[in-house]
Amino acid sequence: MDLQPIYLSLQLAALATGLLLLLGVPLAYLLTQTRSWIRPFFEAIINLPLVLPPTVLGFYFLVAFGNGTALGRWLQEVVGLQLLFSFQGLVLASVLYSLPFMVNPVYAALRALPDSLKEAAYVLGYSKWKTFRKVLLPNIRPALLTGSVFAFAHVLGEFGLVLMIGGNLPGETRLASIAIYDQVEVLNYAGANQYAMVLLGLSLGILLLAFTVNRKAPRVL
Amino acid sequence: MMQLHFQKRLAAAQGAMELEIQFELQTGQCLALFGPTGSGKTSILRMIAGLMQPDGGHLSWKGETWWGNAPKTNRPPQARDCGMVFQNYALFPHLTVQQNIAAGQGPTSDPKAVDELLQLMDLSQLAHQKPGQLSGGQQQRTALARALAQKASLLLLDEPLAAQDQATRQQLQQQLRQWLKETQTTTILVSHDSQEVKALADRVLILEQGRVTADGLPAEIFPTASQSHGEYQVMALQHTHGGWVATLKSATQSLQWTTAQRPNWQIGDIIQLNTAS
Amino acid sequence: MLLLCCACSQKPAPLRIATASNARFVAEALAKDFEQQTGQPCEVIPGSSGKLYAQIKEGAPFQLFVAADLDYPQGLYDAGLTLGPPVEYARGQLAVWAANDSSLCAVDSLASIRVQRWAMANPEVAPYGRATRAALQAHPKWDKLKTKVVFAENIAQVGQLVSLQSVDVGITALSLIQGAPQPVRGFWRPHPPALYPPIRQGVVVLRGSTPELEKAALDFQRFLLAPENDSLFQQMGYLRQG
Repeated sequence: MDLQPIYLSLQLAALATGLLLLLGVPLAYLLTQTRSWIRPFFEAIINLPLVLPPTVLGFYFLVAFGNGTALGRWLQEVVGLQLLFSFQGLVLASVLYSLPFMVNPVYAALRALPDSLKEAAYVLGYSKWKTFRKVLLPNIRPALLTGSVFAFAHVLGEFGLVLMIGGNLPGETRLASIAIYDQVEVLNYAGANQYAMVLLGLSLGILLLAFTVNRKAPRVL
Repeated sequence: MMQLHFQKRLAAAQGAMELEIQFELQTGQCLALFGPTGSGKTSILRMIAGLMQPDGGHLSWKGETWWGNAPKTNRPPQARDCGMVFQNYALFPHLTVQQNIAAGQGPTSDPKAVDELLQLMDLSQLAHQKPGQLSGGQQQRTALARALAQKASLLLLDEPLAAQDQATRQQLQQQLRQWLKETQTTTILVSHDSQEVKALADRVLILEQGRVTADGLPAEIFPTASQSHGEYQVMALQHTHGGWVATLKSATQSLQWTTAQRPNWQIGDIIQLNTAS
Repeated sequence: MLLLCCACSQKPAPLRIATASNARFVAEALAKDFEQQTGQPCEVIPGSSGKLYAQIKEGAPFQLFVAADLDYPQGLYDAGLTLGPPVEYARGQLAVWAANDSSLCAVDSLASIRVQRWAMANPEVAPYGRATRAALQAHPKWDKLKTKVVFAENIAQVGQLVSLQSVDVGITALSLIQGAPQPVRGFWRPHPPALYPPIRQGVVVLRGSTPELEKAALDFQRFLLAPENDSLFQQMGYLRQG
């Protein structure tokens, strides 16, 4: 069995999860700060990947970032960013695709924290940024873990989107899920099984680890 | 000196209420706000701390405007030199008792001062516990220690000793009083407990339905039984977590009467207070 | 020449060959030979012709497109994305494939009551599906056959349905069965090529890569068309015009 697709999938999932932590957590915080009437719009947009079929998302990526649009040409020619059929494109797509998996648990956890926690920090002279780092984040650690694990596992299992915009390039965009599909296409069920078992084992292990750690985490208030 | 004038429309359980309060407070004094639940006491503390915006009025402390309309001024809570004990304590759950108290000190940490506060609040044994492992009373003492650690010139205390048992409360009242006088800290205390007001405050405002109905020395407002000897009508009777508070009115004065048990009077009853009651 | 090769990076950039699903086995075999002969590494990227066509239009980094028909390569040529017009490299053949019963692998048996379900590729998107429909529309019992059909996304999926016995019979590409690296279960027979319009499969060399890769792609196209490979194509279920 060629292990490269598995290695590539893990690499993609790790990178996307890291970026999601950097991006999704502040986004979740900003969401708690937005006015209540406008918040549902942002919530709906962030959660769009949950309801859109991945192939639809992939199709729009293909159109938006291709040679046919001004945006696609600008990205390629001016910025020098090749987003279709490249690993970096998969990273970006995975971040957008898994955004709700990171934002939702973090947002819910932030909202569940009592306001007085934040207020106490302000009265103690903590800036908003320091309050976020030193008071809010440490108290939503279980949600950060849950979000990371779900995002990681979701990227690991991502298929339709990758099929559309990846191009199935070995070592670049041929992920484990695509390799499984390939093996099934040529009726090599034994080969598909090997990849699938590795992916299944990995996913199960990660989820098990996360739930075990979260079981030990103290409840906040 | 503090100059305060707040107007604020408050949504309460029994409908909206118009809060209107105005007072001046000398530096170093301890002022108690006394009144039934829902009379607006906590809201006043929150507006002083900058956690809530008044609709109108003015607030200045030591000559500096903290909140005002002309010109528009609103200092953020971080820039107001005040400490606060929250009714629900609002301790940081991920920090130990010691770390919570140290969090009050700001950038310059002083472990010795933390140790002193741990001792003062009888928390030395619990220094490395987290709030989730403490009783309500222990959490409350931690919150008080954290606020004291701030060494702010203004201290806002929202029912700071309500969760303590009787013996601890009396001891803490004494220690707190001494601490406040030594550090010359100006204090605003919200309380349901007339005994506590008498032990801590230099002055008391009675608040009812968002208005000040009495302003004076605790000994005048809450006379001891012998001084209040006479015939009274029961104007209001309210359950609080400190016990029962009755508002009594005679021909010459009105007073709040606190008891642990539900009294067997009804509103409107005429009762006789004497030394024995 | 040798020096030049050593001077450049240890492994030259791979020649990426986008290949319709039915042609992947023959393309992989040819790519291996080509790599041995020239030292140029090759990667075969399998997929449906329609999806590959869309990806190439959006700039996918492929140098060759080995398609399942002539229309998709022609579209790329018309769009100016190729180095020349499409060239027919082989003609595909339909096969009737039965999972269990050797007596069922003929089109006439589709009407039999022993066939509860049969599968073909979707004629709207798959060239082999189009040929299948053309072959069967003339059949006297087409109206009855239609009621038992399952449309698969592509010929590879037809193979999956048959090999997993989800259907009794499937009509797919002969090349998918004969070219498979591992033995395939069931019984099959080619459908006589005279009974359907030829499935003409075309190849184009794509523009837009480095001069070295474009040259390698042209070399590979020549290799693909070379008479010495006729027997390989025939062995894998294609017809080659002499």
